[in-house]
Amino acid sequence: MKNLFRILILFILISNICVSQNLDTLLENNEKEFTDSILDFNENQEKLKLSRDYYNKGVYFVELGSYTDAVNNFTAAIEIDSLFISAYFNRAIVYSQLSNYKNSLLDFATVISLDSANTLYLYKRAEIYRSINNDSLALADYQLIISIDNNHHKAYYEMAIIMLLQGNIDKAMASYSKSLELKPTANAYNDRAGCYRKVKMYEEAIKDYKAAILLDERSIFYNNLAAIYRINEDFEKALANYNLSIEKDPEYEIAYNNRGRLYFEMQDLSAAVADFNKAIKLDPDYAPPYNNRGIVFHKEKDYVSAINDFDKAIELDINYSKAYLNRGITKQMIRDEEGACEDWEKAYNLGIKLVKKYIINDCY
Amino acid sequence: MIAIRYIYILVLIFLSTDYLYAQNIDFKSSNFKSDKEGLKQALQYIKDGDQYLEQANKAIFSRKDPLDYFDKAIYYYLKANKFNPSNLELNIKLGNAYLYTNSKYKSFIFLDRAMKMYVNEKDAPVNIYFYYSMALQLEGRYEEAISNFRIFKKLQKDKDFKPYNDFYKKYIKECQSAIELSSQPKKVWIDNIRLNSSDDDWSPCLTSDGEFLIFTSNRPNENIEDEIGRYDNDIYFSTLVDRKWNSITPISILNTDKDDVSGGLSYDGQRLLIYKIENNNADVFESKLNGTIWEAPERKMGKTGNSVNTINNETLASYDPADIKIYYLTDGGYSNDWDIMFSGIMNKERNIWGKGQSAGHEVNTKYHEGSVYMHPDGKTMYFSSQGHNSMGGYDIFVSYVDELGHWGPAINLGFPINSPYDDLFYSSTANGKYAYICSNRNGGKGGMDIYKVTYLGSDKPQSIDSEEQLIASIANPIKDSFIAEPIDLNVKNLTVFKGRVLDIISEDPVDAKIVITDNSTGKEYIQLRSNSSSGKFLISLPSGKNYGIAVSSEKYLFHSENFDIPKGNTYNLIEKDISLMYIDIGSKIALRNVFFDIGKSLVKEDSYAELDRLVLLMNQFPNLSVELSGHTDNTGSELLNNRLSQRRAEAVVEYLIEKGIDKSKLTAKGYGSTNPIDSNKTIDGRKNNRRTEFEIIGN
Repeated sequence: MKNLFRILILFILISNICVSQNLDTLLENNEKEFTDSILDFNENQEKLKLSRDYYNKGVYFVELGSYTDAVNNFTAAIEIDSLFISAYFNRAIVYSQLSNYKNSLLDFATVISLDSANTLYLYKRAEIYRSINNDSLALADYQLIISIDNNHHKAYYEMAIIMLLQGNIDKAMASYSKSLELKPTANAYNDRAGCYRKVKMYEEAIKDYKAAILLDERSIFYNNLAAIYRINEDFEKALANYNLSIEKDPEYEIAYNNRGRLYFEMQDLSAAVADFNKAIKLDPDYAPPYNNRGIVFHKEKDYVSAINDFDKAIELDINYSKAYLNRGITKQMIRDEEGACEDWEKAYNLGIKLVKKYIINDCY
Repeated sequence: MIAIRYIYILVLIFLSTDYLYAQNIDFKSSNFKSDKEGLKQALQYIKDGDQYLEQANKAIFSRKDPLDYFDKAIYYYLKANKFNPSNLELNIKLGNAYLYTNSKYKSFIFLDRAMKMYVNEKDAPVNIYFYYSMALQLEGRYEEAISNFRIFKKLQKDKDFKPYNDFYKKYIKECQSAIELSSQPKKVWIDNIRLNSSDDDWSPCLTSDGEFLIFTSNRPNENIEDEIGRYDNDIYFSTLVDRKWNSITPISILNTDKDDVSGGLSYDGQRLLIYKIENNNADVFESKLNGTIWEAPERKMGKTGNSVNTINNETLASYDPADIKIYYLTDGGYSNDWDIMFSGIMNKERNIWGKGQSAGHEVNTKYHEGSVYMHPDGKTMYFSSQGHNSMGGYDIFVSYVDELGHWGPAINLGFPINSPYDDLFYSSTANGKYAYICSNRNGGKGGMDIYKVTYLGSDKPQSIDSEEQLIASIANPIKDSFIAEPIDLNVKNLTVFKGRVLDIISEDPVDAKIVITDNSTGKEYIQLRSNSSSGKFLISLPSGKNYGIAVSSEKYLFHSENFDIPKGNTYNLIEKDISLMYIDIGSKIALRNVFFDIGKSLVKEDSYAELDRLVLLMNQFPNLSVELSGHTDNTGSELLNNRLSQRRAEAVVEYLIEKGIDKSKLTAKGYGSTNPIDSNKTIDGRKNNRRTEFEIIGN
């Protein structure tokens, strides 16, 4: 400490000697520097203003949906202010809107290098990773978010979705539970119920769907709850919930199709067909009700109509494995054995392994 | 106005036709004043027909074969019926006769007409109810048939009813079985095949790959028709081309001017059992396919009059897949009617066969058994019988053999394979997917017809679909991945092994002897020959085993290899051509069925069959000098491999010397891993490289 003080005194003395030697020159220089700094400041302020103007224009274009213009303006803003985090961030978002994920991720990398503690940036980048099906990098970002903010319920929720999609049901359930612990949401209850369904814990699934409905009476939750009752062969409750699902959203074609399936299983074929028809009317490009109506026609031995419906289902969804399987079965009934075998081969290649038995037994 | 007149005329015609058939017109001169000569002739026809009908009915009641008496009766009755179609009694007789022919569906026409010819139940001849009930049974009107049988019983006096009693009970039971069986139809298609004619086409015999069919038919041929215009039965064959039976060719050498009937075809299509009648006695004969020519048939199962070919008739027969037994039909069964018996070979060279034995009480009944077919799996017998729970006439049944060799309970193959008509024969592909049967059911081309049965396989539930938005924040709903499991049916566990034996250089077909050995037991499983004309062979083998195949032919080096048929519940097909090498100096052959324990040089017992064939070859060609060489893969040290291969070669030579082969003709040499024939980088390649070989070094 003493040494530091001595050095400071020495520095002041030396400075004073210099000042006494060139005082006039110094005054001139100082004035100039001051003037220059004012000018610089003003100039920088101008640039900053210009940069902000570009930025604001970019935001304006985003709102207009004119993404290319938005990118150009954010770029202009960044060119003026290379540390402009918001401009990078917004440009990254707009790039993702333009499906230019490569540039988007480059911008996110810059944003996160400039501010690595902001969970929003990580959260948004994780979304980009999910858009390009890079779930492991998305998962890493969610984990980073949680390491920064252990109460980030959304990160837990999104992480759970990835785990569920990866088939890691136990981990997904734990992550949904953590999310629900931090903030109960209808979506998280619905999704956790889906996990319970997958592991055949139907009572827990019913509880969660009911909790979701208490928070938000959306038709999809009723539809999902009905499916559990259908699986449990509690047809009465299943029907009541499909009815509620349709009541909440009379345009919800999925619920009509599913209720049609329920009617089919309840042996009420005409009601089943009516629901399949309604689903088709609501969305003529929705394949499952064609497949299902085809099954009813097959059951009624109207094989021509059945094949027409399976054809339509396949036309709408070229990889619709069940429709191939079903069409094959119907074709066999009309003695089109070659056609049946071709369809079963297709169903097998699309993942229905059980159909191998048909191929081996009936196609050779 | 004109239209109304036409309607009047049509109504009149309709009424008069109905009236015509509703009135009984006796064969009396008062009814046929203008055609007394015609009446006289008609009465003669009836008299002629009566003679046959009486004999035929007598045979039926005494459970004998009515031969062709019913057909002959019909021949005469139809002539009389043409003169007067409205005679009650004649219509009953025609209905009665048709019931026992291959055109039995026609019986209903006459009996129904007869039923409309009387006013009161009591006025009707009593037996009409019996025959009408039978006709109703054929029509599938089982409930009505049962009630009419009961009316018949009610109207009959006790004494007169007695001969009918057994039939009465049986037919009611048949109707009850038919009701039950029809309520649970089998998942099959039954197709009348294009080979059928308007005459009888029957006794289909199929190779186990389903591509060659032999059958019998009494369609017109070059012989002279009998008194009622029928031809004798001849044997024909057809080949499947593009899934269709197109050509029909008579097998001339087997056909005579008498009945020649196919019985059972060996599963490779190289041998055929037929029956022939000599001195009014039917015996089983066998013909062998030599190239493209069927040889003259020779009596199977020993001389006539012995313990198998008895003074009774032995007719339709079937090969046992193991080729040591013949199952056949005889009218010399224990209950003195048509039963299924079997006989085993005692001495192949001398053609001595064991005494015929019954297929057992679960198979044979007090009624007639009509055909027998042994499935290539060796464990399943299909047969037809009038007994058990038949729906009417003959039905086809299946029985499975137990571990002790006893045939189990007869299981009706069910409707629509069976019908209230006669359904007989069964010849199927090795996988059981297709079978050929015969039936005189209504809707055929005439007489007995051959039908193809296609099994639809496992019950196939369709998969309905639903979707749930299991993840609320993701727009795409998730499909239900559940697929209903198919329900398995009983699937045969056999593999068809087929191919050709060819000369390795010229690729000409070679007539070769093929011996299949079950390597798990070391026992010979079966012997067969490749066809000399095509080189083709075909055999059905149970899956899940390792087999040795040895192919030998005169002047050729024999070929041997072993192969696995993986166990599975499905049909396998292995197609393989085998090339034989003409014996020449420098010819080499790998002995695939010579086995050693790992690292040892002691010849294992299951190698003896292979080495014995080598002994046979050396004995056949005493001038041959051979080098026996041992080869290893490249695993392990070279020194050890050389020693091991040398010791193994020497062990084989020692075995041959022990079996009497001249030592000077044998050289043993171990090559270690120096002469690989395959890659040493793969398991299969190394397996191929570990081998014993012999090379002809002098001749």
